[in-house]
Amino acid sequence: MNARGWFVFVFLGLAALHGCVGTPGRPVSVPLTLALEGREATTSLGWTVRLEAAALRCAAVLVRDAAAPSLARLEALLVPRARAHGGHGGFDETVLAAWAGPEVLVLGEERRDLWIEGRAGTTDRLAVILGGATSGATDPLGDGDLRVVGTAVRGETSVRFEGGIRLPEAEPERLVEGIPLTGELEDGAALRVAIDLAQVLDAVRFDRLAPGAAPAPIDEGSQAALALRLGALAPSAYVATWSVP
Amino acid sequence: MRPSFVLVAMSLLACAPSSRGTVRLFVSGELAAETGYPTPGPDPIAFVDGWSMDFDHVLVGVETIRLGQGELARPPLVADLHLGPAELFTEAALPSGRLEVGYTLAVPGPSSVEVGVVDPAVRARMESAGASLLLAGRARHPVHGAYTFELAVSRPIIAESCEQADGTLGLVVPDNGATEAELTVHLDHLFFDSGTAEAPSLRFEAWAAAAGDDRHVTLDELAAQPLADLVGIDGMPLRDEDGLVAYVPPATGASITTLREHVLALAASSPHWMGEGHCRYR
Repeated sequence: MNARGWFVFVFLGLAALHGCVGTPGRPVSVPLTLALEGREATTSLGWTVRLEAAALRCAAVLVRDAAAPSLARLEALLVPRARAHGGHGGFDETVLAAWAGPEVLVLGEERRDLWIEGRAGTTDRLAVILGGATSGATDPLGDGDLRVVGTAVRGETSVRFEGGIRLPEAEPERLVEGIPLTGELEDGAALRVAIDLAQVLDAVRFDRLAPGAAPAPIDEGSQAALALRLGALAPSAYVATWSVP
Repeated sequence: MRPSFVLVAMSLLACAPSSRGTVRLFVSGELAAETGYPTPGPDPIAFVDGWSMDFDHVLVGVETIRLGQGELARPPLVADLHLGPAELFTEAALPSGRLEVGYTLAVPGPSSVEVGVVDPAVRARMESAGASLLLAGRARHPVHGAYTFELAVSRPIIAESCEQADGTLGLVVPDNGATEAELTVHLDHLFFDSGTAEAPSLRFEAWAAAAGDDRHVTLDELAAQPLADLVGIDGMPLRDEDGLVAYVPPATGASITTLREHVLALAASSPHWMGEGHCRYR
């Protein structure tokens, strides 16, 4: 085959791949800011909550691809995948770009030294994975994943509380899916993800915490612990904003 | 022959089907739709909180079916899966080879064709509720007695890019041959206590506790059960031998705070393909 033949061979081969597989985006890397917010709030159960301290462990941020590329379908055709029966959340979706931690976020502080890395493209939603590996004896959250300290007041009742939760180890049980975010992931963009603790605490029945204890503990298996878990996994507690070049 | 012509021909052959085959398509709610829970056999599907359940009707509205590139030109269908698997139709002249599969469950309309026997009164209630799936039956407990329920899943359910149980995509249509395939609706998903756990449990007490004095529970009554504060039949926080019962909704992106929303979100994952195969759900 002469040079022209090789050119046609390569061109048609690439064209065939393009037609059947799709074209992945170019590599991009954009800064990510993570923030834990909501020092004061009034919950839907009528409690006015003032937090003195809070911390949350965040394992990953995933920028979802707005369009599942045909490459993923081809992969599914060629490579059978095992999948858990119950979890149909987000791990079969295509990730456009990601940051992988974990990092402990502290109330009132922003983490600005993080980067989302992946490929350029259009996104329509974000996912966050909470929890993750601890850093051992010096870990500010110990073996937990979320800790809150504060006071809740409703009428004449004031409850000082302190405690937290540990999330399940399985990633699908720590996944927050469908956080609204639309736009183009491209160089020069920046992403900020804020977690609103007012939403996380919204369904806590502070009146059920141990009366008289100061502070009242949030025990594993309590209504407060369950409400914190459901609140932390609710996409409504997350606000993602995109600044584009 | 120039190599470019060979490559052009090979590229076209790689992407285009060359012959045809036939698919005979069924819809099923599996044995559970017929005999209820616990299912019979050595590895039964059962409620962990002591309830048993049987169905009077399991109506499903199949609006569209996609085999390959486009939707099949078929009218919407409605069937009662309590009566067993329903044969939807036989589609001939489909492109042979591997085809993508998807389908949509939606409320039946005037043009929906009944497959087998469908009780007109139940169909009317299904249409009135805007339901793609309607389950009616009763649940029994050795201590709490019997409750009836009618669950009208008032949302369309869209399953795309369905896989077979081994993870391979869609359906292989044999060249100049015929095959059978099944849209499989997993009813147990509606009673799961978790949409994220690998092995969720089936529970009913929170449903029964939402019923009024008539001991009949509907989907809308489940809205009175907040997931963060579920109550049992005794009106106290819902507990089992391990402590407080936790319901964790699937990670769908929606705000899910009540048992009603939890059940509707779980319903999205009830369509399967060829038994245990999963799909992408919307």
